[in-house]
Amino acid sequence: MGMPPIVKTVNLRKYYLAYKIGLLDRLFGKKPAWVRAVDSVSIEIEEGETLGLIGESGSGKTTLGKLLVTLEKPDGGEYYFMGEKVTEDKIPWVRQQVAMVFQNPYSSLNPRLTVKEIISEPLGHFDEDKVREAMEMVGLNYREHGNKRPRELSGGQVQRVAIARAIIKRPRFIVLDEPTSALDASLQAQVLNLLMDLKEQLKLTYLFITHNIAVAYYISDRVAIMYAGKVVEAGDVDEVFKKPMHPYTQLLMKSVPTIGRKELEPPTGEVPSLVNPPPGCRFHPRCPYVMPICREKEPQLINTSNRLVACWLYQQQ
Amino acid sequence: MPGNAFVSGKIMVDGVNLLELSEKEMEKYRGTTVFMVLQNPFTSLNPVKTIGYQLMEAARIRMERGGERYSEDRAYEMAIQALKDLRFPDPEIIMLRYPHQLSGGQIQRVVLAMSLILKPKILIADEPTSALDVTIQAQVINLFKQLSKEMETAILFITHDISLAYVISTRLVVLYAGRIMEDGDIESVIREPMHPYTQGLIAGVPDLSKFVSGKVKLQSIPGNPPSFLDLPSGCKFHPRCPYVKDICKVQEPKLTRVNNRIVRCWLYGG
Repeated sequence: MGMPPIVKTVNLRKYYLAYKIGLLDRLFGKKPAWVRAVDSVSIEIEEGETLGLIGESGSGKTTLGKLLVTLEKPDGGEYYFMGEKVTEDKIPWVRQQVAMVFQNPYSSLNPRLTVKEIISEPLGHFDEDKVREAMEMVGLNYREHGNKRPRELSGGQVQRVAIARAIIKRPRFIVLDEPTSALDASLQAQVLNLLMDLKEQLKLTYLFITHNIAVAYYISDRVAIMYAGKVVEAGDVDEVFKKPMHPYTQLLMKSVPTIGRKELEPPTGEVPSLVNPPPGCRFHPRCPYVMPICREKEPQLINTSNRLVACWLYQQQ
Repeated sequence: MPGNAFVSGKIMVDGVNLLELSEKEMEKYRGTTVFMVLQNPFTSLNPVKTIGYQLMEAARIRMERGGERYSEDRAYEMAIQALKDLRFPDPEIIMLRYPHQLSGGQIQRVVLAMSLILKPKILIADEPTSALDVTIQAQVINLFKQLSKEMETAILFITHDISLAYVISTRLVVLYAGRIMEDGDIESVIREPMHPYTQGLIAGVPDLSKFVSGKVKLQSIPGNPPSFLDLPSGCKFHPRCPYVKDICKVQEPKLTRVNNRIVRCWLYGG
């Protein structure tokens, strides 16, 4: 074996309280309810690759991204960064080498700071050369844009500012949370191509979170599909897209509007509640191939022909 | 629209110019003639009334305008039937719910159920699925297609997602800076876009059909969309256009018919 994967999680979990439990509730014996946003997720990301994390809203993909940049603390499981187990005292070390870009740049950047202040903030001090260099790398002009505030820039430009801010400390690993979904159609391709160029140039590793299947295909080397807090399938992007194995992935692909195909064939029903997920496999109420065991026992994510799949169709019962 | 907005021209619906109507006359057209589905479904229903109340109100308006006498039983039936048509498994329970108790996909279906009751001639849908998930979006799109077929309603589907436009529409109109740039049959516009803006837009869309034989690099349109406060001279697209000529900078091209297509571009005679 060569290098350890830059990111590795083992049964990582994050639960949130669904509502506040007051003293009275406690006296009356009300039990806390937990939202299982990320439930026993094990993934690996190799240095230099882009892992596309696909999932619908509420599938836990953003929470997983936040766990990996230590913005959230896990409630269980292990997280290894560059082969080292991440504990409380390792968090500052991890934070030196990771960054995150959020979906809506207008709400994730301080509206009262100028562009150059926003970009230099992660450094802790102002360094004109570094800011200028980062701005040039994302296609912004220091003299023209440096003194503007976010509201004076267009959506595409503000997202470039967020990207410049993410790369200024030369991180190794960046979590990109739907970075193009708030952008105009004509700007989406610009930003995607910029991200791919930066990855080459700076030898970055990306976790690209998205619900847009086509965007995931375009940017990723490998993809992982999340459903209701769990990874249900992961593998090489071409293989997963050509031959999806999990029934959810199959129906997801048939739901994507594509030029040249007029018919959509989505799964019936809706994404389940994470407070009270269905027993057994979480997809079973919507699955066309449901078997008795799916209702009782949860399938594990196992390796079948170079693919990770969590489905009883592919494993011994 | 803001009070100082200025509208000129004509909006003809069934031979009537809507702009010449008074507010009171206009009321009669809302809902039953023109119906709009908004992008954010949570703001389109009344938060303090139940779904049942709001659907039955729609049924009452339909009956009154259809010259029928209002009957509560009949309105209830119509509401239940509409919810059933939109695949709600237990419509009686949904009738008692308030909007905040439903998910985005459910509310969007309630709004569509309302349109089913009102039977408008024109349904305007402004990015009705952009707040929804992929699988729910596909469910709602299938409903839209079914509705237009069954009720013979014309749908104006506003979107920035070309792949989605392809799936739902029969005709495509491309707008840029407040102007129509191209208008034609969906298949032919997507296969052979004529206007440079349409060409750039389609080249930049990450659509799965492009990746059938491996990855291709997406082409992007350089620059940013113009500000309405400071629109470019001549053709509004000229600062971003790869085929820009001298005339594009000075004079705005007119919409011209070329075969079965309408285009606003000097490449096609302006």
